[in-house]
Amino acid sequence: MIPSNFDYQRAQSVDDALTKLAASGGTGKVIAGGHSLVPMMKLRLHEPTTLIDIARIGELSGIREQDGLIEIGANTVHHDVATSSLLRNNCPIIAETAGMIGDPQVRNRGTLGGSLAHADPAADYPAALLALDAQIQLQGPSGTREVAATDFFQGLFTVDLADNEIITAVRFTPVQVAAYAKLYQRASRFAIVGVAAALVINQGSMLRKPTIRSSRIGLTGAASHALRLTSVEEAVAGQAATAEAMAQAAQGAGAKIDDINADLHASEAYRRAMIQVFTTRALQGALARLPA
Amino acid sequence: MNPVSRRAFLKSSVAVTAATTFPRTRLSAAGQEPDGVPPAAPQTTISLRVNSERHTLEVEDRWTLVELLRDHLQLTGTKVGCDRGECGACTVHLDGMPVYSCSQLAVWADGREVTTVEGLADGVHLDPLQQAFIDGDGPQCGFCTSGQLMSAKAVVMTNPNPTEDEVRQGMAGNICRCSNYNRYVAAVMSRPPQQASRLDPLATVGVSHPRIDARERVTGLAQYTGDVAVPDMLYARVIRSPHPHARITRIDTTHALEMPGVHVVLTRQQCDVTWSSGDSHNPRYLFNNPVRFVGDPVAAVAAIDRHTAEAALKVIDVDYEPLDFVLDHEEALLSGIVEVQPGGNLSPRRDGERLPEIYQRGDLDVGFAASDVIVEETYVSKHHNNAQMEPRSAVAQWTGDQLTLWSPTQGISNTRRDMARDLDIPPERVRVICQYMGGGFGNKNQNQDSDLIAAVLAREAGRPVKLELTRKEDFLGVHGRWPTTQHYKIGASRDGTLQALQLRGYSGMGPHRKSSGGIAGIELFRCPNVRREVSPVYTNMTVAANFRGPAYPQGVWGIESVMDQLAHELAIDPLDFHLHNLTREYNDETPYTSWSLRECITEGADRFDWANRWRQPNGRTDRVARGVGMAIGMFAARLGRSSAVLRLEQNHLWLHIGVTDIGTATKTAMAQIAAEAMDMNLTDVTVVWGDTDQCPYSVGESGSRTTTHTGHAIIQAAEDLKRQIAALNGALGDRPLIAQATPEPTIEGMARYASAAHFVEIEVDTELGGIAVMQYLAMHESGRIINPLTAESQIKGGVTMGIGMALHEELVYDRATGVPVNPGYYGAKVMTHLDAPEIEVHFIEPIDTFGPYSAKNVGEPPVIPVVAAIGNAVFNATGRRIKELPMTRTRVVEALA
Repeated sequence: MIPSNFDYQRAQSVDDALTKLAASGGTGKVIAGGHSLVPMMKLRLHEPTTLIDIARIGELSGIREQDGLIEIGANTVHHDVATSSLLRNNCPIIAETAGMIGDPQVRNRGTLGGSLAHADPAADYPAALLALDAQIQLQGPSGTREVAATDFFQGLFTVDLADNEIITAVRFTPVQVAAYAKLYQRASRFAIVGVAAALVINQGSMLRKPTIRSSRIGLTGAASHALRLTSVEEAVAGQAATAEAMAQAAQGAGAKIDDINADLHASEAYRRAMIQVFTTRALQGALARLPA
Repeated sequence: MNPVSRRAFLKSSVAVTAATTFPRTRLSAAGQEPDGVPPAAPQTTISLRVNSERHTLEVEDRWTLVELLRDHLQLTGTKVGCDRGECGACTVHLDGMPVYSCSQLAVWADGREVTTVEGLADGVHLDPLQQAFIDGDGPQCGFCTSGQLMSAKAVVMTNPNPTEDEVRQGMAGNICRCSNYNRYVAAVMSRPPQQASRLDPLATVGVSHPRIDARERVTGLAQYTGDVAVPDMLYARVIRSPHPHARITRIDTTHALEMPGVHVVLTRQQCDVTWSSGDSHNPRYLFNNPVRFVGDPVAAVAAIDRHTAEAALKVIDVDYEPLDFVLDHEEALLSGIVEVQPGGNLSPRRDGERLPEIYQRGDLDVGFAASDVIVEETYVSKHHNNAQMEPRSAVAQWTGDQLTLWSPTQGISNTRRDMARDLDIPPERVRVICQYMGGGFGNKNQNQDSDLIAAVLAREAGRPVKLELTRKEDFLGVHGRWPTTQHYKIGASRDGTLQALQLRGYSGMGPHRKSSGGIAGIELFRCPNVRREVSPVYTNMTVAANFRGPAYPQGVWGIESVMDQLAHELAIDPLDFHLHNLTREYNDETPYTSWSLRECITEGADRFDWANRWRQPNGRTDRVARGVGMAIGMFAARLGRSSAVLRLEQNHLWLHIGVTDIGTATKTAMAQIAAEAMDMNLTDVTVVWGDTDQCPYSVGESGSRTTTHTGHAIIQAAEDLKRQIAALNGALGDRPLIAQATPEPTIEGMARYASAAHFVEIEVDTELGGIAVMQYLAMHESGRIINPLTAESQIKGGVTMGIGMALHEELVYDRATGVPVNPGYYGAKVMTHLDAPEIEVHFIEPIDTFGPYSAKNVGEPPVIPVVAAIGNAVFNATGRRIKELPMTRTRVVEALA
């Protein structure tokens, strides 16, 4: 429970952080809130020789809206995402998701970028980012690049992030009609099954009830990495915007995924059953956000 | 191990010391200084404010914030319970926000403001929350209290009028294993506790009083073992077996011994000390070969600091030859299965016979022939860790041949006796100090291997040694509640009268027999024909032993589930079934000194409105099913031998007692008894406790008997003191007086028990399988309640702990590898603020002349009926029984399928 030796370096800017990272010759690690990395270092699952602290890089923090897009800096802690009035008003699902992470101590220090880089299969953010079709901003020695959330989460603790890159921000178009629902591990409050659903609605008229034009549904906690529930997305399309139709569309949601986790928190069969339950809840929760 | 070889070890210890000293006095290959200073770690200069005081200091980059606070700024109010961001004991404020200081690097605090529990009070003026925690009895053992306070403070700083749910959410990251969640939340809500003694209170006894040491517990001043620092202290770490069963073929400590800063490396080769209280049947060495469970100690290191000790562990090479292993206690008894201990896996009885423990009366065949309904069912309970907030720790210091040991023990006298025996030195050469300790719930009754390891390392090193186990080590290396398999066959006649009661049970003890391994509960019922056969079995799981109410919570769950099923099959209200078949005499032959079980049931049922709430289960299919359940429990209010010394000087009374106060408010209750007996004010009594050099003998705080045995001693000593005063005919003046007593009260031919009946309403979410406790009523008889405030906290905590055992707590093993997969608070899912419902507590207070002021016992009874009551409520709600613990969501869904 004691980390091995490392050299701590504080980066002043993103460029400075990248320089330090490059100089570490592949043995460096970037740290912001440390809530994933420090425990892993104590267990010696990670033994970086250089730790590059990016927590004080101002440009990596904050929540902004520009040209209809919302951008959350990678250093933004979960607490700030959960309590942001900008997000609560314009894209409540992301604030809701952040507010369901861990406990206050974790939310006060854990960062969005750290959570995404660590890519715990039970982390909450990935489901919401998939539902929002978010773009993850990365910066490396050769400049910046943007990766869609759908492509970013690749496997167990594996994301599309090179050793010499850092996550700088996440960007997405705000969605009102979206919700996150999760069954959590009661002690850690990590997701056993977490589902985020975002809906695009065909407005109803005097003669026609509102229907679902399209949806994006992200699932976390159930498999080696977060993924889209495409079969449910297809089933939802064109359905009436009613709670019953959502429950109907979610039928069998858990049966259509190949690789489902079985661990001490839940069996595979239980998780499959819960995927359907929480997909229904997320879809219905999203509908409940439809303006009256 | 025989005394000769123990002595031989000590005689040889000089040579061993010389051998281990040699490598650190020569230049190492890397050319470091010869004085054993390890190479400097990277450092950074930081400036920060801690509790408004500015510090500029060099910190090692690898230090965590809690390490800086505790080890280097001596702010030890902040505790380390898990060191991995799970338990919350280390919570401090960083720029006003609560954070886990174990998961922060110290360098991050540069330029920031840190507030610890020591910074809450304004000089002598406590923060209102600290006062609320005192008045509302927040701290039991107190180890989590600083963290609870810091989280609570953060809640009220941002929201002065929070709802109860907001308080729970705000404190969700702070575990309290005493499970005093109700009290903490009520204190933050400024909701004063309301307890009234049913008996007319005496002058002091029977009156609610905050703990006399509550101030120390809420200010961070209470000194726990981990807070002790003595000059030149070394830090120790232990290597533990990663295998459930293996022979060690080679240990190479060369690299560790060559490491600068490493003073001693101990393995079985240098140390054949036995830990005699670790196994009552087989020799158990500090370091065993073969190793018999994952977590069995293999080697220990003492080094100049934590980091060096940890680094040394990594370079000790151990070769293991894995052996077959067995985890399941029934499988362990099959032929052809590996022997965990020589001679077989059935642990022998006290008489040495390898036979099950058997109790019987009457004739089962007659009983079953007379039965109209027979229920045969099997119940399986799991290993459930005590998980007390303070991990095992010890500080050992030798002055010549005199050992001073700081240890978080439940019994300083026991620990002194055990240490002297195991080290083969006279008891007067051992001093054991335990001022405050962070809970144990039965797993710190005797000396611990950590105590011995620290003592032997310190002796070898010639310097004091501190050993603090990690949370994982504490889960693996120590013990929890023994898992059981219980096969019942019980018959009753149509009128609901029990006719035959048979239990064949198996208890998995791990590889060492520390405790009874009993399965208790059938004695709660009157029945003419009974046979109980229990086999304590050696396995390669971690060691199992005493945990709050040992033998009862799992046994009562089994028997009470079967009774509930019998009542169901006979179409009788389980309440009536209980009243009809209740024990009247212990094992139907020994009268009770006082017996209130019936009254607990009837009054509890009235308060719960059982008559209107219980319905036959109807197999309804609502998504949320509601149900009620009840169960009973008893626990022996044993007597015991303890001493008390009273010292009266200048109208002030000093009470010397050998207790440690494990969170039960023993010191307060004993001070109340002394004040009552001497007709003095509580404020005129000072308790001297927790130090074998200053306190007389105590049998130790186990078996829920401290109030009885120490209370008796105090009253008897007080009688003597009062006689001395009277003899002076008013000429007492400044004359100091001393009185002491060591009574050994007996209850020849009688049984003395506390009673409880619990009533619960639950909701089962049939879709998720979740079980939510909606209402919980605990009706208890514990004799006269000395301090209603703190006694009720005990009941609330015990019940809450039982709910965790019922619903989600378990040490899970990978059956293929024999490795426990979830050692830790998150993995084993101990109860949190978010899980804990409000527990309603009532006491019946009969006169029991065998107790001091009629008192019995409080600590262990509340956990006993909980699992059974919840299981019966699940049946009432759903028509299904979960026969394997814990009743997880997955198991509930499977049962409902």
